[in-house]
Amino acid sequence: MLRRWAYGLLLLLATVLLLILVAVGWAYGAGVRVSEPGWQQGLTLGQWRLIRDDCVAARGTDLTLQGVWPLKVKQRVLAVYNCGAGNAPGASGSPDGLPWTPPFDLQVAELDLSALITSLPVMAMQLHQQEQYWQLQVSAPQAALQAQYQGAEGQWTFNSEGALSVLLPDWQGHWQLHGEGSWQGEPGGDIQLEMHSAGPITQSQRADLAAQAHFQGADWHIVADLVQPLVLNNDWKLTAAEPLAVAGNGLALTNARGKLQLAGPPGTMTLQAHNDPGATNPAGLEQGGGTLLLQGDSLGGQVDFHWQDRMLVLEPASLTLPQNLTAQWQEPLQIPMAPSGRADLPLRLGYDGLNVKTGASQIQWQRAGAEDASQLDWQWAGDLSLQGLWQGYQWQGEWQGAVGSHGLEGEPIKLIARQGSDRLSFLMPVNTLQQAPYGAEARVSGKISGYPLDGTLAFAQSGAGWAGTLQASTTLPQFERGGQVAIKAPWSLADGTISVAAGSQASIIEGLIGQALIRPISLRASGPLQINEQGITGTVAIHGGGLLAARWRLPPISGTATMTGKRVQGRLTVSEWQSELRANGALENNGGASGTLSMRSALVPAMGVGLDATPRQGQLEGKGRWQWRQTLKASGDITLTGADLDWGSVTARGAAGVLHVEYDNGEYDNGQVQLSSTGPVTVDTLDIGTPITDLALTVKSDLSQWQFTDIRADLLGGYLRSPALDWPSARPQPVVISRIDLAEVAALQNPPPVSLSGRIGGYVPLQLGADFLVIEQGRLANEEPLSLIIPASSSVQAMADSNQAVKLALDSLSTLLISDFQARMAMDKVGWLDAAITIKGINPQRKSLPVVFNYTHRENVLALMRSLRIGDEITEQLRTENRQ
Amino acid sequence: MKMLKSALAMVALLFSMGAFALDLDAAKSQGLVGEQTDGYLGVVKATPAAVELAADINQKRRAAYERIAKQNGITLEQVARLAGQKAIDKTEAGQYVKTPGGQWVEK
Repeated sequence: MLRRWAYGLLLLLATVLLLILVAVGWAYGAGVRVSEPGWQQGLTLGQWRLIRDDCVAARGTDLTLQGVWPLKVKQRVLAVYNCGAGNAPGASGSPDGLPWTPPFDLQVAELDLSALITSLPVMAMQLHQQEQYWQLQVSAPQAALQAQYQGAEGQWTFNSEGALSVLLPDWQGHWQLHGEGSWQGEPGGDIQLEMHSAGPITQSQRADLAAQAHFQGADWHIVADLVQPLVLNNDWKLTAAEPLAVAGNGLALTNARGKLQLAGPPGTMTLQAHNDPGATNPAGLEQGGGTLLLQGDSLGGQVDFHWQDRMLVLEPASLTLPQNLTAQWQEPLQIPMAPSGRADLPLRLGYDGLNVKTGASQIQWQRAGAEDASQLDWQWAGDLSLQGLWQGYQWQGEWQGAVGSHGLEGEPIKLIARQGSDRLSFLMPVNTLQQAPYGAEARVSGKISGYPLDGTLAFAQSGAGWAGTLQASTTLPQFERGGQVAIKAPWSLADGTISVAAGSQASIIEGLIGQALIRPISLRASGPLQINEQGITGTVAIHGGGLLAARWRLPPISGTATMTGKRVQGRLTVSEWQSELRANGALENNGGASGTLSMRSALVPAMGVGLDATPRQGQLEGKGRWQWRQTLKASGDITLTGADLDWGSVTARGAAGVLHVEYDNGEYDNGQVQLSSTGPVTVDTLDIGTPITDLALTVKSDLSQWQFTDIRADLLGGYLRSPALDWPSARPQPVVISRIDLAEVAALQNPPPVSLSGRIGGYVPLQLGADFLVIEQGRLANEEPLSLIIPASSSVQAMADSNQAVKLALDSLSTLLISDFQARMAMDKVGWLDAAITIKGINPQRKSLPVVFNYTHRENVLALMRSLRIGDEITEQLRTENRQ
Repeated sequence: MKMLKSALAMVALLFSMGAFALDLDAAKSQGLVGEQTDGYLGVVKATPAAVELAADINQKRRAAYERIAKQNGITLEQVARLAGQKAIDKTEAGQYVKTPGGQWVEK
């Protein structure tokens, strides 16, 4: 018995040993290489490799054989590598289900398939088979797969779900996968895939996708659809107007058809494509066609296309695109469907009224490198010409160069804009063009609104708009010398509004307009200036150095102009004159403008530099309205108070009045200004050597013709009156004087040489010429008895002693009661004054001796003036002024 | 001390003359300015220097005319017109004067 038991044990050991040897031999023959064998509660292998065709197809670490029946293997690490495609499925016939195996249980703690699918993480796997019922479980963080296979019936099912980032690291969302079918005879089954909230991490758009696939043997078809429209940027939605349907046999594609629709504010774009089932080689996509249809408010046109022999042909089309863009090609565009290629692109592009036409135009592309097939090197090269009408300007331009993935190169872009006599040239070197943000710098030269312009315009994309700096110079045509304007204005453009930055400045250098020297002027934006369809909003500070001419000067001025859309408020001050001018206005719909103005100024001597009068003091205030409609009109009232003025020795004190002023530079040919006093203009004292007091008159003038009416004044105890005096006048106009007190006449000299009493009056016809004064037959007479007393003095005695006749006359006239006084006077244009005086009376100290005194005098007043000492003073002034 | 003040005054005068790139005789000789009947210099050919010179001279003339007018009991305009006549009389041949009609002519 013992012997039989021992024999049996040896036979069993031999069998096991034989089986082990067979297994080892089979494994070795299958390419399995092991190392570090051991025993720890079972056979262990520290390392093993599976080698196929000198390629390591799999590698294991820390394998433990925990049981033999059922076979139970525990593997800590299993890595599978790519050793080529191997035999294509079906090439040697697909297996009829999974092969028979003894029951087993395989556990892999770390399954590494990253050599096959780069993004796959390390997973845990359990594969269990018992009675040909296979169960597979694979799990990884955020992903899981369960599969079953019933070998007896050949039925299989699987379910899987997980995060998309497990398979596609740059994506987010989830997938759910379910499949079931049979693997007995010809394999077949159905697979459903759903993706929820799927999309690239870098983009906000998410989509829900559903796909169903069915296969039977080598035939298969897939239908994929967007469950809901995919919302893209700017209110665009992508929908599958028809699900994408693809069918094939093995690796060969037999049918494909799809229709996508992109809908947005401008309209819809519908892309429909299919392969050509009638092609000679239907097993693929080598031939097909489709249509791109554009419809909507801002979209229009249709592009028919087809492809064959790896060549995509776009039939001639004319498209309307958003932003008033159009695209057109009149010849079929042939575009190779290849990783590398080239194609001619004869295009016509339109924008608003602008048309861009390509001359030579070719695009070429090729893969950037072997490592990354998704990167393409591309380049368009050719020449462009532009012309058309835009923003009221006729545009013309040209460019020759190339643009592509490596940037832009070529000739400077040339643009010319014309409108009437306006002509602006833009020269834009392409090396100034920049990407991200897009920008450029253009040289600008030409003439706009009659102003020559030369400068640079830099611009670059900024946020949702553009920004840059305009640096330009121009010359104002009003200037005969100087007057160049330098402009420096940082600006930005967004939402149709141009914003000129605070501190932007336009400076006008000193120059001549006519014979006036205009000192430098600067305009500076105090804050940002907003320019849009509503107008300009912002404040500009103004500083001017003043004006200088041969006879007058305007001191420096400063002020501000505040614009609010189509309204403007301005304030200018002349500090040296204590003057301030305020104006406001608004643009009218008819292109004109209107508003109000007010001014307030002191009267200071410096104002008289260009006048024949010197203001000493006083106040000037004015209020009015103005209007611009092709011509400027203004009207208002100027109030003068407390004004003192000097015309040399002639002085006026306490002048006051209100003048109404009308200005119209389109109505009056002989003077654009009309002024008239409102009520009387009054002067407290007018001293012309003889004091005139309480002068009142009304005035009306167009600055060339002055009309003074209702003239009243007190004079030497009497008064003067004149109904009207015109200056200049063609005929004499009477001035009546009356009640002149001769005592006050005598008092004009101090001490009075004679003693006079009584009053005289008369009239003096005056002709006031432009530069002369004529007195025609002026007459004065006594209005009451007069008296004359010549007091004894040394000078009178000296006169009497000099001549006996004079002594006799002085004796007769020394005391005289005058009953009749007659004086006649006349003066012609050249200054000859003729005077004749007749005095009749009695001398009471000579027994009432009757006295008749006749006196005539003729003298040229102007010659007398020239002969006086002032002539010498003037001569000295002229002689020495060059050395002052 | 008096000599020192005089010397300083002369130096100041020289510097003030140097401030103008143009003096009156040169400006008249070059035909840039001329005499007018109103007693003031006029600009014949406008240049910044000519305008500056004419404005300066006219400002000084006006001050002198006003002083003379006050001293003699007549108006500033009367003095200016007398001065204008004298200035035109004194103008050298070849220099410009303005006619009453407003035309610049070489005397």
